[in-house]
Amino acid sequence: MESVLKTHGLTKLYGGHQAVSNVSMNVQQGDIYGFIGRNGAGKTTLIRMVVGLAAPSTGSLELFGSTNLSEGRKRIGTVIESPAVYPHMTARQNLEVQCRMMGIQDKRVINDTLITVGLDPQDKKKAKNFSLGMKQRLAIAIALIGSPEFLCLDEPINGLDPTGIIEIRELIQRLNQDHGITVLISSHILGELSKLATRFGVIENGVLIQEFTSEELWNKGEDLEKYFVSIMKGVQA
Amino acid sequence: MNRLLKSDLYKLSKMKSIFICALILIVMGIGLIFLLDFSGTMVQTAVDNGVSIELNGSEEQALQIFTNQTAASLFPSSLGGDGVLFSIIVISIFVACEFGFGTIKNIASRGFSRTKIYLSKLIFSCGVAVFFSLLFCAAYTLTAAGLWGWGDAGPEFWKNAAGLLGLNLLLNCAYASLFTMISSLIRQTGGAIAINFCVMSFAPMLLELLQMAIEKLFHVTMAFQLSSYTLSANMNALTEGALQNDIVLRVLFVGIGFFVVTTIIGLYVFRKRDIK
Repeated sequence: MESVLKTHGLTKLYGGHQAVSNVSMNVQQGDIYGFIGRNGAGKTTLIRMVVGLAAPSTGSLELFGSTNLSEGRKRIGTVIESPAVYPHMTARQNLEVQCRMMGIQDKRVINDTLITVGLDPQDKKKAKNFSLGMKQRLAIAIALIGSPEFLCLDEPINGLDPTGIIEIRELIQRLNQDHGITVLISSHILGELSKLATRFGVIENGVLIQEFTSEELWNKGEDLEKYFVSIMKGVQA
Repeated sequence: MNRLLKSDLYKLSKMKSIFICALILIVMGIGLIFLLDFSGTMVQTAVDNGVSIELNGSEEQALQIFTNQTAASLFPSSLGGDGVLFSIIVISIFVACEFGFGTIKNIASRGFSRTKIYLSKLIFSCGVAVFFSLLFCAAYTLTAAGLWGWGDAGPEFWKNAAGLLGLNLLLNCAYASLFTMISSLIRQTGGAIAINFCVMSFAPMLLELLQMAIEKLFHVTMAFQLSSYTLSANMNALTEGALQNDIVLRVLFVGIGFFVVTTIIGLYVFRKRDIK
């Protein structure tokens, strides 16, 4: 199976503080890779290095088996922390901006993407009037423009109500199963991540301390939350 | 790069602030001419009623300023930088809001080089500054032409006007580069507007104070005025209307110098800093 993301000793220093320390990981095609960690563990910093928003202090990464990162990043869609949308523009106009940037002239792409994320009835509504859940879906729609093969989602369900959480979870599952999109998703809401991810990576103090699959977790008979707590206790001891 | 430019052009077209500022500039340009006309009428009436009005000790000069104006004689005063304040507003919003909304992440994470992203913003910022300058100049001059005619607008006038306008647009691009640099450093719309406004307004005064302090502390006399090497001082110099060699050279030096230095600094910092 093709590797979509491979990191080799990725480290990020902010002054004297090591936000990410020597992380080597591998995300395979078709995975939904769940990044678990406490607040400030280094999840967001790592994702920002993957998508090019932050430069690693040391280490390297490969995207789709190549070190040509600018080409690789054209095949990635990103949602980092809060949804990044133009509030004064409608959903349709937000996607139009992205289409022009990606060189896509076919307007059907906008219609199809709005339908995929379930925002087609609100396409003419300004983003500032959207609920948080709708903004998150719009942010995912923006990330989907250009037909990315790899989605990096950082805390996409933060602040959502239960209905919003279910909608985003089902959307991610549809994108993975129906469209074959590999997903790297970080969250500290473990209950939701356990229903979604096929592989997990636990990060603490910038260090990737453990990786395991959902199958391995199932075979242990463990609940993800309890397993994560036991890992943290082991780290602190 | 083309795709970034198309995307940025679309974003600009959806910004209400650019249309509001353009409208205000047109109204300002037209309004200033009518104000001048009104003042001229008042002065003429006063003089006709025996009131003595002098400018620099001369009644003739006062009458010349407030009456006997034409579009050709007023054209240089339209290049005094009235559009710069509005450029501050639009450029600061255009550049800094990408960071405020977080949408810069949508651009920077798609494989575009930081250089191209910055240059796309710079190109349109220059476009906004040039557009506002031309708009004000057109509104001002055409209104004057409508009220008082063109006056002495022969080939010499147009040659001089083209030179003045070209230099004015160079200074506007230099301002745009400065505002783009500051907006991309501050990364916050309100802060960018405030800092850009302070830099535009107070830099000449601060340079004068600095020069006074240096001359007093070190008991030296500098051969040139530091404040005459600011963008605003050079814009004001163009309103005199004369394209003397020393003024042209100084404007070129200041305009190109500011443009190049601020572009290099802005690019360097934008490439190095992480995007949060």
